[in-house]
Amino acid sequence: MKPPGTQGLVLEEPLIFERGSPGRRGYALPELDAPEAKSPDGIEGHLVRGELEGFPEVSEFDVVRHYTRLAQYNYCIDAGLFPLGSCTMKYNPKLHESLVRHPGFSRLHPLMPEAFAQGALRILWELTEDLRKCVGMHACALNPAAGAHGEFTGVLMIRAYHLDRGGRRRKIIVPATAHGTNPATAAMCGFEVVPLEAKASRLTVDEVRAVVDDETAAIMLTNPSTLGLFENQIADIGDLIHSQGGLLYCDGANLNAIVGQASMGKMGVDVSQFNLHKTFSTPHGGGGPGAGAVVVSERLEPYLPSPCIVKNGDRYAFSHDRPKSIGRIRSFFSNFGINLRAWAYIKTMGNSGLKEMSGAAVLNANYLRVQLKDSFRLAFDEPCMHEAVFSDELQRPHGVTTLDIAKRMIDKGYHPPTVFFPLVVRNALMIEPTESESKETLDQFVAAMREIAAEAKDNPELLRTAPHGAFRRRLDETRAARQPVLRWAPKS
Amino acid sequence: MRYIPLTDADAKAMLETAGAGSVTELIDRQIPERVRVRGLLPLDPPVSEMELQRLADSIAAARPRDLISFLGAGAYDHYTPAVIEHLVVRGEFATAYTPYQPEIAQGTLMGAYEFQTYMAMLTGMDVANSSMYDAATSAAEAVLMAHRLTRKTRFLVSGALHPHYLDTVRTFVSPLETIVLETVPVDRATGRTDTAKLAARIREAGDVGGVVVQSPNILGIIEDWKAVGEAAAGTGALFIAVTGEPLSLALVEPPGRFGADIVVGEAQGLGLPPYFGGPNVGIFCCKKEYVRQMPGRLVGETVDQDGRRAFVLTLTTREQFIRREKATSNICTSQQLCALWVTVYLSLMGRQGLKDLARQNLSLARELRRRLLEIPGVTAAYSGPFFNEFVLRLPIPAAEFVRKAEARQLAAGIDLGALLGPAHANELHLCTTERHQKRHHDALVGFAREVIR
Repeated sequence: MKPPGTQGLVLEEPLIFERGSPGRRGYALPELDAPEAKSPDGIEGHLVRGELEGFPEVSEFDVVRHYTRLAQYNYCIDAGLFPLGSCTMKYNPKLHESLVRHPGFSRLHPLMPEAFAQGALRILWELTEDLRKCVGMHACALNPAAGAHGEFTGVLMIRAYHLDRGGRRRKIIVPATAHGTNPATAAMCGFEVVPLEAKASRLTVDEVRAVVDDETAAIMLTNPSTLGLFENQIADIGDLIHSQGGLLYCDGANLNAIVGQASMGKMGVDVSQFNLHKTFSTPHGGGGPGAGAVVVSERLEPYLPSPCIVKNGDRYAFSHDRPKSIGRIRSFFSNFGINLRAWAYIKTMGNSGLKEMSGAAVLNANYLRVQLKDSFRLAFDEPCMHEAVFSDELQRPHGVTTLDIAKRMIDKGYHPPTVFFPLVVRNALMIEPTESESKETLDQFVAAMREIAAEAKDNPELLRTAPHGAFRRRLDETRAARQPVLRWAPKS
Repeated sequence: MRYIPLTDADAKAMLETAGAGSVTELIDRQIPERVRVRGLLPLDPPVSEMELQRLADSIAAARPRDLISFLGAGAYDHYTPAVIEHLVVRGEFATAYTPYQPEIAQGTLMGAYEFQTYMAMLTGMDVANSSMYDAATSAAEAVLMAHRLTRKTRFLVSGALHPHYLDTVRTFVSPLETIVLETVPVDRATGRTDTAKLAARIREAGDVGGVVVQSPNILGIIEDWKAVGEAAAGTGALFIAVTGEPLSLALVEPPGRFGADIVVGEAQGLGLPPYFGGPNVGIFCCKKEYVRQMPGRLVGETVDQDGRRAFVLTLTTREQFIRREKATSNICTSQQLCALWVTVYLSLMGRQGLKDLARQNLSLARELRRRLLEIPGVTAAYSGPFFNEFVLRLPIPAAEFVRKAEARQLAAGIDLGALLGPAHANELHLCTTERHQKRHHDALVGFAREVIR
């Protein structure tokens, strides 16, 4: 076991609860200019709380040093390439961070009288309009707190639509190439999931025809799919599903490849959610917060979640008067802080920039596809959209798997790609560079990946035991699951 | 173009490698003409950073700089120490991905583990997840979880639950058509959930899957967790406790001490700015025997192959990316950055600071309420104990009071009539925090004296 300090300047750090000293304080309160109360008037003795057991006693500097050290344990897009297929990790403009700190936004209470909230309402209104126009759809709502929450919202609208027409349809078709959350969302909304196995790289009208019937509420597909390919029969699939009275859900997770290139309206899409961080460049934050705008066709507009924003003349307001709405899906209105960043991104990219963005994302992905296809088995050898899917087939004979390749990439200074997904490709490596990366960065990445392919042949053990240079070696994940330790506890 | 580094020369070379004459050609090979977009998007042309900054500043000015606000009811404007922002906006936290590669994500994972620990300690529960969207969706997930655990379909919900939480629960359970949400009455004098009626109803109905009670509730009143716990104990109904203002937990014994099975709530009040309603941070805690039915992300402690302490996402077989349609929830993100914000805040406040801050809030609220009650015609709407929010009954409609205050740059409370219905039309909901000094209170009291005659 290495002693602390042997990782250069990346130091071992205890939990915050293990730091500090009794009586140390990290923050000074303003002086109280009211008579002091110790506990609420009329509160029963059994409800009065004693000490906050376990809470630390640390100085401000202790806090700064602790979280700075934690930060040093993390890899992030600001530090290097994050080629996560279908997760889309792109540059997060720093401008956005300063905009959201404006007290006119950050300190705005959600129940503020509308007169004081006109600015924020305007931002939200403009964003709904811009998002809708980006994809040629009828209406947009910003209420959902994340992509999966947007999916939930969308599928609830599908449910409401059918109920409103007197039809209780039970089934939702989910192709194997759809996003991982889709089946869970459909199930949460009370639908039976009809899986559709992939026979080829793209879904065909005939495959859908074989499973669609008058119990089908919708089909949920992802376009471009998780194979990085455009579902080129989507408009015909839309026609088919509509002719059967069903609806077309298009997961917008990979929207970054098609903004300004393809129209969801023309595809016949009825509803889609946009994971704003993927396409409109809001930070992923180690897993959140997100925001999951939904766009809908005319037939689903009455069911949008409540409240909606309306514009009357030059005034903006919330509208709760929506009799067919699926109802409220969260506290207050939306993840405004995230939506504001997306608004800023659209303004700075504008009508030409977003189109250029999707074009560059496609070019970068295809460049990597071609450059890497001699080293790693390409799942589908044809032009791709935002990502290219490889597998470990060429490395497996050497006893090296996708996981080993992924962990070795850490040593080379890269975050591993999405691994073992999509499920239709055995031991998949989904590589998505996004439009943010320069040719030099991609070339360096290609060189590193070729080195790994060579190492897999010549020194497979090096990969099997990777990472070697990270803050931690491979973790005992089984132990974490078998004997869960989910919190620190004070020693009694 | 901003944020796109490819030069024309780069693009040319790359297109050659990719075997296409242009980007358009590359895309035309994949997207059929029927759905293809030609020409520019129907958006405005790009603006520069400086122009955008100016535009945003002018838009933000709709909220006056010297506005004084007394708004609470689930979102709180507490002071945010400068340190937090400096740490949390660091790229290593803000621009990292979900920590699926734990060797290079220990910062995020340790932060999440600390958040879980803080939430468990604050609520008096065994375990917490590493955050949810907000209190409303946490409450909805709690009801779904209680349904999975008990298989019972009747849920008794306090009439003083935040209406947004109630509406969200209603939306989330709507696809499970067998679930019945039944309202438990609130005592009109105290503003507390009528626990005698609650206990009677649980016995009488016999098929109750859970009771949902919030404290402080939407009327600002602190509930008696002991009485709620006793009503649910031994009946098979799970005790689901909700909190909107987490700072109250520094002074009030947490529901975990009174047998709560699931505790959910909103952590935004712990240093995160209100941001016009989001992002927020949902709290989700439960007894350890229920952990495998929890929604959301969990971080656990383990070791790496050199035996060093390390943290990893765990019990992932509950989650949608493994179990697909059998998952406990479709939630596949967390509010990680906001949870970290809260974690840094709690660390800074520490064992004594958080209690002192809570006492300040309480003291200010008591003082403001005392002063407003001196105005003839103004009475206390409810007599139960309160923390930093309370409800007054006015001799005029609260909507009128709030509207007239706007001209003075005062957000003078919330018209409960708008939030809870016409029966509450004369009730004004007020919140005061450490941000307020005597002069802020003076402004409100002075205005109230003028407008209420």
